[in-house]
Amino acid sequence: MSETSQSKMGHLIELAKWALQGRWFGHPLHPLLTHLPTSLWPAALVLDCISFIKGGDHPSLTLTAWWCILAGLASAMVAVPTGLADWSDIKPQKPARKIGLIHMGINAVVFCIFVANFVLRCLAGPSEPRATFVQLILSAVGVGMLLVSGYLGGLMIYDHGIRVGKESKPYWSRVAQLAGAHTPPK
Amino acid sequence: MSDSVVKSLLQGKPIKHPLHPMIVHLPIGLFVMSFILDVASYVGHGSVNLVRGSYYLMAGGVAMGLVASIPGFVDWLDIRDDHRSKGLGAWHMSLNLVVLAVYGVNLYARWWKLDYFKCDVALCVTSVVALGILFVSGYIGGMMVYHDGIGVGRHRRHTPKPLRTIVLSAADSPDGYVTVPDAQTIEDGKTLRLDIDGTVIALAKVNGEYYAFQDFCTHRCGPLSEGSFQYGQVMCPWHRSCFDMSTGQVIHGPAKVPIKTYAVSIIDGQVRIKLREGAAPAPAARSAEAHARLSERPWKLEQSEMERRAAKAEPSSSQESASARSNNLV
Repeated sequence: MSETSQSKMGHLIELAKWALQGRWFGHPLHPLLTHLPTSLWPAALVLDCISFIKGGDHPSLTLTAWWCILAGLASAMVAVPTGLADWSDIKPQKPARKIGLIHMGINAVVFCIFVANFVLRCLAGPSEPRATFVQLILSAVGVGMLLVSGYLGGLMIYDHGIRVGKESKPYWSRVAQLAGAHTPPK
Repeated sequence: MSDSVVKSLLQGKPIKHPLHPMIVHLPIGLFVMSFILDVASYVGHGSVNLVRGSYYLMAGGVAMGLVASIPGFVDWLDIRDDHRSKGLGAWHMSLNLVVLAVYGVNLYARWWKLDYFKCDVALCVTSVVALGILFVSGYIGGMMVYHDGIGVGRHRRHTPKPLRTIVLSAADSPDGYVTVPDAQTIEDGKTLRLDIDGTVIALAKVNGEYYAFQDFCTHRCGPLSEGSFQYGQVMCPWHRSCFDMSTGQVIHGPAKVPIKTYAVSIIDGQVRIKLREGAAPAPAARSAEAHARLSERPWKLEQSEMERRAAKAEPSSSQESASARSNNLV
């Protein structure tokens, strides 16, 4: 690869990172997008539980769970590149890098579990009268793992400060400068 | 005195993760999904199942929104009065209460229309308006975390953070020393945030000794007055940069620039800070030793906690040592 095309690639990667990390938006995109799978899959589990316990014919519960899982899968796929873009900026020697890898691995497994769950539901028909035991177990295992990986994702922010103070550095540097403090290098 | 158990539980300190941002996934996601089902009910003949599903999700969202409001309010109470996030948080809270009220009415109105095949258009529009407000308020909540670091690294601090900035002036002190009122009575591990003629200083009491240094970390300007302490060092709550509180040297990155430190002396039992000159640098050997000790377990704080307790158990004349230190430096 020639030098110019290499620098072109570098620019493209920088542009992709800028877009995917949400720097144009002033807020990282990954934690924003992950609101959907993190809430919809547990909602599907709750609906499955109610449907399973109540028995009888309640297609409104199973259909809603079907929609929740579908929307969760769609938003999770959108969230993947944004998460990777944030992760790629963590320095390799930092503990958050490893946490990010585990977070990613667990999420991949959870995604597969909900794909399987979704396929089973499609085969049974979205408006089946009640959730089956297998569907319920898949939802429960998936949500259990999701809670762990979501917690790890939260640790990266609240314990390791990933993305914290990145966009606001110019603002706070100015405040610190006015307050007579040494400021970060530009 | 450490924070009350209930407060630290509501702040999620034992699990190193604030509870509010954990719970808010639910109302946000469920409200969005409820709207998606409303739209889905307009496709084709619609379905009573979709109309009901939307209702269930909305009910779950309102319930979880109410649950999330409790730790959120506790988190807000712990923000310093003059911090910009105090105002942002007030907006965030007000907008969320509006959103919950709108969804409450929306939910009530839907109760009578659960047998419809398509969602009532007026109610769907109400959802859109509420989602718009929720988007703004969620963005503000995100700003508080990602721009202002609210709740970040809070669990490493075992003592209350300063909730206000004490404004002082050096104008009346010809010798350049500014008396900090009531500083002699603060408890160990606590900090005061001072504004002396515009210069913002964190005054910390650690192992009975007083240290004064700039409040802003030199990495991304995290609040050092809300940091934690070990080995005579302050650790920034955001990204764990460690600074020597006497010399201001960086012991552990990511910060690269030293912080400003100020000489502290105790005269007639009053804590006084010298604003004009920084403290003289300590011998390099001490810094290297501290660095070696820190690099062994860079992410652990338990050891320092034990050391602090051990130091408390030994009665030492802290006032003398503090004055001796400042005498050496000035």
